[in-house]
Amino acid sequence: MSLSRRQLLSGFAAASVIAAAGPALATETPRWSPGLDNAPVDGFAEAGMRLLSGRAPRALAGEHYRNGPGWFRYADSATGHWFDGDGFVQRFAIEDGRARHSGKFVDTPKRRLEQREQRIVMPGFGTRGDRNAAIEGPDSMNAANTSVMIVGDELWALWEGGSPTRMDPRSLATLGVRPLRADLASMPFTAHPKVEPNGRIWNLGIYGDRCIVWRLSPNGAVEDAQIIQLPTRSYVHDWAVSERHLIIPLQPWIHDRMTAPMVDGFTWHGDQPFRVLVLDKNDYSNRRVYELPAMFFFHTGDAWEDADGAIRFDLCASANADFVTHQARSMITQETGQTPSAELVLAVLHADGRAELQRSGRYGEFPQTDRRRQGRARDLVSIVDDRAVSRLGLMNWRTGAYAEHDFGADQMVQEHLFVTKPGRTNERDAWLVGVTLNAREQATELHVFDAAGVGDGPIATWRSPYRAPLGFHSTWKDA
Amino acid sequence: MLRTALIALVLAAGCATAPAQADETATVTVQLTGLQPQGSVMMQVFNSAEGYGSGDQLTARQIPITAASASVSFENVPPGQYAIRLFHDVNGNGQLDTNPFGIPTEPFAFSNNARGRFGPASWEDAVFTVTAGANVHQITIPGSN
Repeated sequence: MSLSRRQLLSGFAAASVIAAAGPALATETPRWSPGLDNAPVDGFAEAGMRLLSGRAPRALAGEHYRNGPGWFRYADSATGHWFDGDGFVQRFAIEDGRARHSGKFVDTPKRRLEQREQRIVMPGFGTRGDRNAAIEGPDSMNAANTSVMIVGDELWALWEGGSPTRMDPRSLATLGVRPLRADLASMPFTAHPKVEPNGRIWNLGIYGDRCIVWRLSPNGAVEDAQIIQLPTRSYVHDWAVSERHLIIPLQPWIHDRMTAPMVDGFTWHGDQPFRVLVLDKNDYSNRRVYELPAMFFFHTGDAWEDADGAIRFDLCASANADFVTHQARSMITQETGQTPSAELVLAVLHADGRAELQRSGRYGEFPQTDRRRQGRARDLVSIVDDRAVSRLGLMNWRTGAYAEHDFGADQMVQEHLFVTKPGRTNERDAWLVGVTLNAREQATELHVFDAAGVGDGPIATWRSPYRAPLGFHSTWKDA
Repeated sequence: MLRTALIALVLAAGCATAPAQADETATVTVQLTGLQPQGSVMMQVFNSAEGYGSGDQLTARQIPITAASASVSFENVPPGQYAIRLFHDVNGNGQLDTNPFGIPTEPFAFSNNARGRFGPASWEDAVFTVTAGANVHQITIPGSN
């Protein structure tokens, strides 16, 4: 992929512009508030969804699994942050042009305790909890609420501070936490593992300025686990993997004091660089640190390497950490707020040590790419516009084209995944499958787009007779 | 005369105090449940907040575990305040195993079934009172993380 000099703005200038011009996410009315209601305590039994429009391709068959916080409050207590609700896993099964939906809470020790006592007990990312809460280790607090992945015959509900929680992918019954290896029990495992096209799984777990690098077989067996030293503390929610490198972005939002809740222990150091640690997959001692100007991020798209050795990866970058420190809290109390949007950018790490940003001028979050191309060159990344969360966008980095569909002001769009068309290899030979929350209809909707025609709108839409909570991240399993 | 009188006094004192001492000592039976039937429980007993904080134990026991429950008794214990901390050395290597970030990977517990918050339970939460006579204290071992 070639980029013009104009596209390759200097890193410092680019990020300065992000800081100065990032439009604000204004939430005049808390449209998202239905998405932060408690889900039914027993979840949703499997039921058919009504086809609203279009027709699903016959060749599209599989399950879209989705995880996110689904329980926020009891009569006299509430979580302090969107990120702390109990994990609620949903299954959208598509087959023969029909869609079915079900959902269940992940049956964690935290949830069992709090349901028994009918109050918030455990501390969390932004929740103080009961000071007398019994905490045996990270998994005492594990909300299993951030993402989900298929590993062998199991569905894993992921949380970044502790172990994966295993579930039955058909019934959504919780099978419990089983350490990936006995001596590595309770080690963190982020909610953003990276799966190579051959099925090998890479992941990190962050603890202060140290990090475990996990390498698992496609069936979840630990092939390797090493502890590495990071050049700085940071909040690492997501990262990237190319064919030859592990890429760990280290933003200057730093946990520098122990306090409850945890989020209050972080400080935004806007005068410090955004570092990127790059490790050789085959030798972690072979490392390099790049520097970009200060910016905040949650999510990456994916990474690849050019023939000249440059590493490129998508980032959704905002000017500061205000969303996580303020708005994700006020969402629980259903207050409105304003925080900077995230701009889709492409970080470029050159072989000579320089680092730059290519900007898109498009704002959004929850970036998704074609997972067949994990770690390899590609053009496309989908995002959910985070200024008006009713829009789904598809960016083409090679051509600069941006296709967009606006669902309308009543809709809140969530992450849309690439699903490969059987027997096809072109990147655009894919569907985008995802969910919206229709606030006016108080219903959850499932949509299928043709990746080659996002601007044309969904080719099929189904609706549930109820609304489910907003979620964070999803995965797809072919039938 | 004086010597005889002193001996008599000592004997009398002995006669007078020996039964009283017997009444004022205690037996403490600690019952453990929730165990995996293997390895040993390593138990430390403390009789002061200072000792509990510094690890300066009053006594310690190693209890082989062959069933889901076990008990251990301490005889001739002066009544007072005590706290217990223990871990289940499941693999028998003589130490509390931790993961690379220092978080225990073998079960541990405290008297009163007290729990810590990002660390061991406090003396205030773990302390219990031993009175003269028979005392039974039950501790449930939480599952491994």
